[in-house]
Amino acid sequence: MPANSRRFDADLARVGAAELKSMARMWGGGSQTRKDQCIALIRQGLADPEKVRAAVATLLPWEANALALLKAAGGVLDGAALCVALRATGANLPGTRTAHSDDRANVLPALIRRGLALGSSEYGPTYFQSYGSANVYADERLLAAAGLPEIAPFKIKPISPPDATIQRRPQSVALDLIGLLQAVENQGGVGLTQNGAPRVNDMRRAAKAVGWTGDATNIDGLAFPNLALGLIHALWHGGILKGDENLLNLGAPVSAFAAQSYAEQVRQVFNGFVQANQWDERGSQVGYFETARLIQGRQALAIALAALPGQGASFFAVDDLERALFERIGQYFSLSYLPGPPYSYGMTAEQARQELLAWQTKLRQNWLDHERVWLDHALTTWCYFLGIVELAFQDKALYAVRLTDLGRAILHGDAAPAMPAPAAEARVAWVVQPNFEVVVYLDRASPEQLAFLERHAERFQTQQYVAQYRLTRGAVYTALESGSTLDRLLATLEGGAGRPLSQNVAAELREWAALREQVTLYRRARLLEFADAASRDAEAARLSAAPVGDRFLLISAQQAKQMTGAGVREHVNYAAAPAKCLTADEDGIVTATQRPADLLLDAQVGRWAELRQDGQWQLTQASVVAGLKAGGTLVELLKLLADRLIRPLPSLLEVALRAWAGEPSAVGLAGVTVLQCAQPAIFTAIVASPKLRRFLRGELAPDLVVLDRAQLDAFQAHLRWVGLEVAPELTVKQRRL
Amino acid sequence: MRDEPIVSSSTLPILHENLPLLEVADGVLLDMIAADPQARKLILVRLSERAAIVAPGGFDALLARLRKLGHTPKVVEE
Repeated sequence: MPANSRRFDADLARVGAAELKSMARMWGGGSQTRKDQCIALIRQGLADPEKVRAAVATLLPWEANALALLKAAGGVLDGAALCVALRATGANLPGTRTAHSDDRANVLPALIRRGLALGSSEYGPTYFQSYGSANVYADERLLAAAGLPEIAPFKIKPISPPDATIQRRPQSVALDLIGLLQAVENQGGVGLTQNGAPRVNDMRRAAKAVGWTGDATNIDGLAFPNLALGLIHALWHGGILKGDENLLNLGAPVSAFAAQSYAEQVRQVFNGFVQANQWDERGSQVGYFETARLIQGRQALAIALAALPGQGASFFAVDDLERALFERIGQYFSLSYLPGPPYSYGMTAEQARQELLAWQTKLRQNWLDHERVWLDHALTTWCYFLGIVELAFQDKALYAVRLTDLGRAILHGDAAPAMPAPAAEARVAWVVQPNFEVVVYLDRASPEQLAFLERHAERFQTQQYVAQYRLTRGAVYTALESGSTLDRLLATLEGGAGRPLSQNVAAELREWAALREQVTLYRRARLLEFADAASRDAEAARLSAAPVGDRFLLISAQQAKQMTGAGVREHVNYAAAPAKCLTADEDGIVTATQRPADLLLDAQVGRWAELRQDGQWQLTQASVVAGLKAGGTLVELLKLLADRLIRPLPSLLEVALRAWAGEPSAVGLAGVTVLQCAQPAIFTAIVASPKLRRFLRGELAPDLVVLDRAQLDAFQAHLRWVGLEVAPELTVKQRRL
Repeated sequence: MRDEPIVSSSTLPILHENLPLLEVADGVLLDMIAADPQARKLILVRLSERAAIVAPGGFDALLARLRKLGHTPKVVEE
């Protein structure tokens, strides 16, 4: 998703000659330049940073803004979103709007002809459809020379500071972000479905770990629908989470994220939210057409916030903000259906004016019904959650907004006043209480210290200036499992407290760490097996390896690598398929044709069969039932036999195993009298005869019918009457084995 | 050059690689773990009082079970 760095080179051959000639003008080409020469000129130009800088310096304001917006979006942006964003900047765009065309038809081809952008459509780099989502991208070398977008401030006036406002402090925002990232890291990532969407259950698990439950999370009294879904998408689009085929995971450790300034942390997530098209601020499902429109709206909102006069340091009425935004984009953007401007052909000037007024009135009403509502949701969800805006409410309705210091740092970059920097290094920032609770003073804590606590303790309360954690056995265990150490835990806790830990806390932490050493699970252990204890003991000292039982040594991967080959008699790799070394007969006798060195065979077979002698077992109903009672399953037994048998399992034995395991079977046995007739016409005449029907009990096969034994004599009399001779024997066939 | 001792191949050890293994600090602990029916089915071979081979494919299930039983096992991946 993010990291969209691309170059034009590969796409140039698919661009038509007319567009190429136009693109090459920036690099010295002309109308007579051949196609291959145009491609060469463009490539040479883009490869020379000086030429690129010079070319970018000649761009018209709206062209420079387009490049800047593409740069801010990571290099790739939905074409319609780029156009709406350009409108929001207040730039004058080329072309005129008609009933049959929108900005994309005017702006995108102009950008292509200017050599600034290409499309990402599978139909070609200059193809744009008029519906749905279609991305445009700029060459990364052009983006390197692009600056920040020039945004014309709105002509609106500040209002008096409201009596009561709410805002989130950067430390609280960072805590939430770090907490969620830590939860994702602890659970091993977020799985992706076959369609490439994050798995809902994994997102819920991560949300639960940070205390966000339910469909809407309450943030300072504001409802944030599907917070975990939105935030995980934002972290993904922001490049903090990276996706591979089936898993979304951290691109870098949580500590690396936490080491950045608050503005840098939040900037990435803010940009990610702008593009998180699978999440809707209103809590509704995102339909196909909304995905592109949401990005358009969020691009416009981000620019609108940057367009607040005076860098948004004063409060502005939300009504004024939305009206100013409507005046810039209202005719070009809608979250639902955008009616085109009216035709004026054949109308008088007055009629045309009336039609235009009616259209504008309708646009405005639609905007108030939909876009204004969405705007309020956007301001009170992600913009507020990320600490970008400070809000004021009147009768529970949002009425005023201004940018926070963090918001200005993100939206105005270097031009914004410097934010108070977070503590650059660890210092006294918390109190560790004897009841294992840690009270953190957020102003004092460095991002690294916050990340440390998120990793080693459980946060249970966050207020504006204080966060409270609890040191628990589970949290400490999880931290140690992820690579932390007891020494680091003790030292950092003491460093952050500025004093030694109370004795009971230190003792309990040591106890928890020691408990972890009581049970060890090796996923891929390497054991050396010796003939006896004496030879094992002789090698133990030389290899500095830990003894296991009487005859084994636990060795390292490095030692195993050195010994593979000459140093060992045999090498058994349990990651490979097990050795096929068994035969089984219909009586359930299982015999080892050779004795492999693997340590599993006896125990595996012994779970299901009785040992008869060394290398031979007997599968019986009792042994199989015992295996099932011990927790095994028939599937496991059949897999074991499939893995280990040299030849296929005898069918009769498989039938027996399934029956012993309780699978239902249907076999009937009874003595019957049957009539066999190999001639279909005669057989049909008999079984279809109304007269003979009372003697018949049913057909067994196409030539075989069961008779009522009690009426056998009468039936034979009828057969004699029709002249049929009855042979005393049946014709049977033996199955070939 | 120093003469290497002549070693019969039959005296050389067998290398078992990629074997899921459970090791505890005290044999009583392994007895306690094995007393749990769900954990027991995942322990295939007891090599000693303190060590046992985990059933193939049962590593993660045993890890989860141990945690459920209140243990805090140290997991060594390599």
